This record gives sequence, structure tokens and C-alpha cells, in this order.
Amino acid sequence: MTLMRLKKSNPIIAVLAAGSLLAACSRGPEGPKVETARLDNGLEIIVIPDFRADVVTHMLWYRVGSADEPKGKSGIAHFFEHLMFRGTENIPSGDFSKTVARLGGQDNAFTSYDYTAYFQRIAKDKLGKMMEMEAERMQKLIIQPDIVAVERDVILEERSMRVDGRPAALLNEQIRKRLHAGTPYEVPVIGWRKEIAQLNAADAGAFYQRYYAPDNAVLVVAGAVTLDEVKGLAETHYGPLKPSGQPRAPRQVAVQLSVTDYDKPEVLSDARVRQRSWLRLYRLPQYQRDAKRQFAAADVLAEVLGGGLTGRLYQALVVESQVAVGTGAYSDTSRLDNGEFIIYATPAEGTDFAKLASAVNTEIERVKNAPVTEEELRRAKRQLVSDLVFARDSQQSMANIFGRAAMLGLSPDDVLGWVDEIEAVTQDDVRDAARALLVEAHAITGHLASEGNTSEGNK
Amino acid sequence: MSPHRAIKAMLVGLVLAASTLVSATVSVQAAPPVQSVALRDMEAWLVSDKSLPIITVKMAWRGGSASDPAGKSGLTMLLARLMNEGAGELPAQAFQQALADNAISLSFNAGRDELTGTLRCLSRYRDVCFKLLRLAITAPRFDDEAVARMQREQSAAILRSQQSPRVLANQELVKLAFGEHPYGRPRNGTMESVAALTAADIRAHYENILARDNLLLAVVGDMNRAQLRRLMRDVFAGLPAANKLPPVVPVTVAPGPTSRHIERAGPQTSVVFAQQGIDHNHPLFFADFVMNSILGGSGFSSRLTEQVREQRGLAYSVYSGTSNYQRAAMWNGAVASDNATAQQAVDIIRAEMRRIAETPVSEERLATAKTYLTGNYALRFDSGTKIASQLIGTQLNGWPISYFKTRNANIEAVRIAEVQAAAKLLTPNRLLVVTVGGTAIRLD
Repeated sequence: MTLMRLKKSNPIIAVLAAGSLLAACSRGPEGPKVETARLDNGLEIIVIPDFRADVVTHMLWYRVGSADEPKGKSGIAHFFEHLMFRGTENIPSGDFSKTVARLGGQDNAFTSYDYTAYFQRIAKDKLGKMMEMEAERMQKLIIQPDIVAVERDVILEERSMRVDGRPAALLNEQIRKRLHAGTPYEVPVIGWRKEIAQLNAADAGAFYQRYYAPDNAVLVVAGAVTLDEVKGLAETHYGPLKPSGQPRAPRQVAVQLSVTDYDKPEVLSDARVRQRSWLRLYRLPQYQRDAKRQFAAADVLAEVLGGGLTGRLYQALVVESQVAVGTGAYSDTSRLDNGEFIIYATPAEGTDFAKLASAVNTEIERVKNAPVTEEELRRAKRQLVSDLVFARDSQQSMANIFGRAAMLGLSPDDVLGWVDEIEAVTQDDVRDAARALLVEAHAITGHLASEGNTSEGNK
Repeated sequence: MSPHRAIKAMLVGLVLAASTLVSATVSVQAAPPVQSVALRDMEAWLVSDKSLPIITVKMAWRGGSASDPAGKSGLTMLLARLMNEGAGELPAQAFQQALADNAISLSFNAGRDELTGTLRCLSRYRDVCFKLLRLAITAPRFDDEAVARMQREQSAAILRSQQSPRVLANQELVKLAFGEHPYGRPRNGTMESVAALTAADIRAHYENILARDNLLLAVVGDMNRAQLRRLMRDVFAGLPAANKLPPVVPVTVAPGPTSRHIERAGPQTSVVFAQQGIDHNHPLFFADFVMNSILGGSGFSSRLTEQVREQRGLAYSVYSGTSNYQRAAMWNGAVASDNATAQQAVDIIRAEMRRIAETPVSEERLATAKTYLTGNYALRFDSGTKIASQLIGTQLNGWPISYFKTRNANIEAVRIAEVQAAAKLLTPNRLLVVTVGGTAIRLD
């Protein structure tokens, strides 16, 4: 199959000069200012000043996620996150969020494989109060068995809504269970239903004691504040907290990336499915600093293959052969351990899964065997870098980016330096990354099918 | 992990949030200064801010999927999908490449009452950015290839929406509420209606909708008044003066009690409910807004969350509030609960509807609701994208530019008796209810 590549002949299309985008999101005078500090008890501080509005985003990130859970206690990290809203010595159950709301703010929290984060968005003059409350629940939480029982029901409802009522989510769980077998990522963040149902106050207490301490946390504040202001307030509120001296334990990482029965697709056939879908998850090696060239190339590769409507997969599968009605690819490498490279497609009516897989495989072989064009490379880089430029528009996005990076052991400088790494990627790097990472034996393919109709097109 | 993926992970959604916050309306001194810029018969609202080299433009044309001609439901959505699929000399792929090459993001969407567009670019590429926008708006191609491709995409979206219990339930709910009125139809249309649409239909609809008299514009970021005037002149002045859409007739929500059940496998039942609401010209509009915040619209602080989630663990998500239609007002809400407890959850919601109507809220609760709503307004103005959304949303509601300054004062002025008067419009015994899952709901 060949791709029609239209030449840029229209005079209105001025191509961005190299480097112009870079300035707006890299280290340098035009880039974002990101400042850091550290308290004596080990709490790290990241401040991203943005004075456009008189509000701040206050986030506290803990270096603990579902991948750190004890065996058989799946879901405890996320469950525990919910309990953090359920009462401390001085804040009754439910009052944390009500207090934030009464002060005109919003609050929430989220849990992933490698981290748990709590945040409030609020007027700048309430920042001290937010720190006072966040510090209080870091070490003065009260875990009451009757409340634990109610919250466990909330979480089972959450699981029903997010996963058990959604065949596509169930399929994702089954694929990851096989892809990451033997490592913590085989378990979904929300936990297995049977194990959630058994979680209790003792489990929550043990988890709290082990992980909630200032030396296992990073404070991120974005918005109308300076580093000095944040440091002063943080000393007052977080300064007195006692460190635990217990960093999280290293986890089981897959070095050998081959997956058992990689050639057998994971099939989920369900009467609730109306639109079939196809996806493939490749297991990636753990990120290493000395392999960052390959990881930057993986980001570019995902963009070349699956970046929107100009990507190769879209052009080949949706525009040309029309075996699919939608497709894309991305590399999820924001993981401490093994990341994933994900390709997905929605088959066209009448296209069976085998035909679709074959069309995807053709594109993968092509990117492994010949260098991408200069133009594709340039476009992919521009898209990647502009994502980071536009992220600067939102203080919440900035707080999320630098907070998440910190959880994965990356400094603000690493994040800004990533732009240079992307710029350094060559055509050969992209081909080499495809050869190294898109290995059939490292992947599981999934089919979401309508019941009684596992391969043929449905209407 | 690579830093980029720290960015993308936000979009990928591998994180679980403790709750889904339900957003309400718009702001006061919370908002930055908004200027009105006029050019001939056009007006745009501008927030000029040079602190970042970014420009955000939001545009809207009154006339959304409710204006789909009879038998052609899904047409406005298909038009929206095609507005960035080729223009002028540039076929779809070349146009998309031009956007990508210049780091421009341009997309269109169809609401029930408006066709919207969002453009984001870096200010130093302002010229090429606006040239591409002009092409998209004044010279879309609607090539057969792109039309057929977007029809397939839209058909897949229709099928996919039927996999989501909440979406399925809401589609059935608006049918109950609005019957044959266009508000009762899904924005994507049906498999049959979409398959029958042609390039000629799309072009005719484009010519009917895109004009100057129904155009609303909001511009935020690195732009001054002169630059905005140039944008209006170069991009929008070439549109026809008047749109040719027939008006959407006003409609009221059909009275209940009516319940519909769609049986579906799984542990949980998804419930949606609705009744007639009050519109944004009603004297009790702000009282209704405050009342809804206390009852079910303020996330963790609402009575529904407290009673259904916090006290009893019956649901992860529960909310209620008034939905924004230009020619209708619908009060509606949703909860998803285990098949064994869905009825109990709905009974509690109806009991809370009665309680807020029968017992006046306390001074303290009212004050808390007000500080929440007024304080929160500033949070909707902390990024260029959000500001642009506020500017266009306020215009769509037909509110004056002074709204940003008066909104919080209007909330402050709401009294207990008015909250109760708004609550008395709730009719817990005459709801429309749709359930998808294992349990049908009784309304006795």
C-alpha cells in the first residue's frame, strides 16, 4: 500500500521556523519559570508562578499508587484516597470538601499506578488554610470502621460505573492482566471487585502509616504566588510533620518483555457491545536515563503512526483502504515500571479483526523498514512540542505535568529538557525505536465484539 | 517514563478521580476586563492578555442540531465534522497537514442550539492561522471522500453512544421530554438518517447557518483591538449578512409521571430523571441556580451527595440541575446505583426534592452556597481557554457584557424565600425517569 502524500505547494502555508516553539516551553527566558525548594522533613516543593488570575492550584502528591499495594489488597490505594475526605481530629467526615467549597474553592483527588494526588483550586489568600487542612489529614486522619464500610460501597458503585458496566473497560483489564503478568501493573488501579469487597479499616490504617509522610510527598503550587510565599506557608503548616524515613520499596519490573501466548488475542464478546473495536498494547522496557533517546523517539513514533488525521495509520486504514472508521496510537510511558505503546482502531462495517490487524501490521513493518520522511518527522516534533506550549495556558495542567513528573523521579529541568530530546530525534531513531519496541511477542491484541458475532462486521 | 507522557496521561485517563465535579454557569470581579469590539454589523468580546504567546478564538453560530431539517437529523453534526476537512485549494489531508505544520488546533462541534468552532494558535503565526480559519469558514470543500469518511465516523459514534448506559438513558429521556420536537432527537442523528445525507445537503445547510447575524465571537490572549478588527474583517465579513434557518419553536418538558426501562446486563442501574425547569430569563433564575447548588449541583457539598453517597454509600455519582436549552428549560439529574438499591436512591432523591420545597434552607446554608458559587466563579477564568468558553457561553445565553460584573451580586441578592419558591417548582411525583440496567423504577 502506498500513501498519497500531498506536497505543500500552497503559498499560504508558512512553516514554523525551527526553535520558535522551543523557546516558549524550554529552559530559557521565554520558557515557564518553575522553582523548587525542600523542607527539612523531606517535603519537596515545586512552584509554578502564573499571575494571570488571583487563584492557585494547591496539590499534594504522594509517592504511592496501586502498584505499591500488598498482595490481595488491590484497590486499597484508591480506597484510601477516598477515606482522606472522611474525617480527621479537627475536620469531621465530609467537612474537608465542604470547607473548601464554603471558601469558594474546588477540591478533588486522584490515584494512579504510581502516585496519589490531592488538590484544591481556590483564591490565592486561602492557600494557607488549604495547607493547614492538607497537613492535618497527612497525619491526623481518623479511620472509623462504620465510615469505611459505607465508603467501600461507594467504591463498588464506582467500579460498576467505570468498569463492570463497560465492556471496553473490562477488556482493557483482561489485556493488562496478561500483558503485565507477574508485575504490579497486572492489577487495575481501582482493584478487583472481590478484593475491594474485603478491604477494611485495618488495611487502610496500615497503608496510611506506611506511606503518608512529608518525605514521601511533593507539594506543587501553581498560580499567583512566589516561591518565597509558598515556602513560608509550607514551613508553618507542613514543617512540623514528622518524616517516616521509609521511601517506597522497589517493585517487580519485567526485564524480559515477551508475553505468554502473545499470538492469542484477548476476546471479549458481550451483548452490550454495539460498535466493535480492536486494540494492541505493547509492553515497553522501564524508562532509563541512558535510554532517553529511545523514549523520545517512541513519542515521535507514536505521533507519526497515530497522531490525529495526518498520522500514517489514519491515512492508510481510514482514508485509503477504509478498513477502519477511526484509529490512533500513543505511548504511555508515564510509568515508573513498564510502559505501554498502544494502537487502537474501530473496524469498518464488514471488516473482520484479522483483516484490520493485517493492515496495522503492514504499517508497523513499513515504519520498521524505511525511515520516516523529513516532513513527517518535523510535523510530529511540532505537534509534541506545541502540546507543551499550550499546556502553559492552564495553571492546573502545569501543576499536573510537573507533579506527575516528580512522582516518576523527573525534575522540572528534565521536563523542560525533554523538548531538546524531541528535537534531537532523527529519522533513523524513529525506525530503530519501532524495531526495538513494536515487537509482536511483547504485545497482547484485544477484540471487543458483539455477542455471537466475534469476527464479522456488525451494524 | 518520559515527560511528554506526563502531559498526555491527563488525556489518556488512567487516573481515577474521587468525584466528577458538575460545572454550573459563569463570573464577577472574578472575571478579567472584557471589551466589546464592533465591526460593521458584527461584535466580538475580547480579553487581551499578552502574558503568553497564545491566541484562543471561540466562535458560535446560533442554529445547532435542533435546526436539522426534518428527516435529516445529524446534519449539523456532520457539517461540524467536515468544517476542518479541507478548504479552498487544500483537500482534507493537505488542510490537516497545514494545521499541524503550524501548530494550529481548529475544531468544530454541534450543540443543540449552536454550531461552535475553537481555534488555538501561537501569536507569532497569527497570519497563517487566520488564513486557514478564513478558508475553513468561507470555502469548505465537502469533498465526497471526506463526506463519506465522516459519515462512517458519525455512524460509529452513534453505535458507541449506545454502549454507554448514561448516554442511552439520556437519549430516551429527551424523547420522553420533548417528543417530536427537535430537542428530542440525538445530535448525531440515526444510522438511517446519517446514511441518507449528501454533500448537497451539507452545503445547503452550511449556507443556511454560517452568516453574520447569528455569529458570536470571543477572543482571548495575545490580541489587541486592531488585530481583532482585522480578524473580523478578513475572516468573517465575507459571510452572508443573514442566516436562513427557520426558528426553533419553544417547547415545554412533557409532564410525568412516566418511567421507561431498558434492560441491560450488569450490577448497576443507571437512572436519569427530568421535569420542566425555569429558563434564564425567569425572575427566579438566580434563586433556582442557588437552590440547585444546595440540592444537587455542587459536587461534594450537595444534599444529594451527602444523603445518597456519603451517608449511605448508594452511588459514586449523583447530581441534579437545570439544563441549558435556548428554547426550553429542563431540570434533570442522574444517579447510578446497584440494581438492589437503585429504587432506594431514587426515593431519597425525591425525598430531598420535597424537603427543600417544604423546609426553608437555613441562613447558614444559604450563605455557604453563595460563597461557594461566587468564589468559584474566578476559577472559570484562570486560563485563556476557559475565559473564551465563558465569553461565548454568556453571549449564547443572550446576557449583556455587564453580566460578568453583575452575576455575583445577583447571587448575593437571593433570599431564602426565593430559594424555596424555586424549590416549589420541583415535582417529585411527576418526574420523567429512564433506567438502563437491572431495575425499573416505581414512581408511587
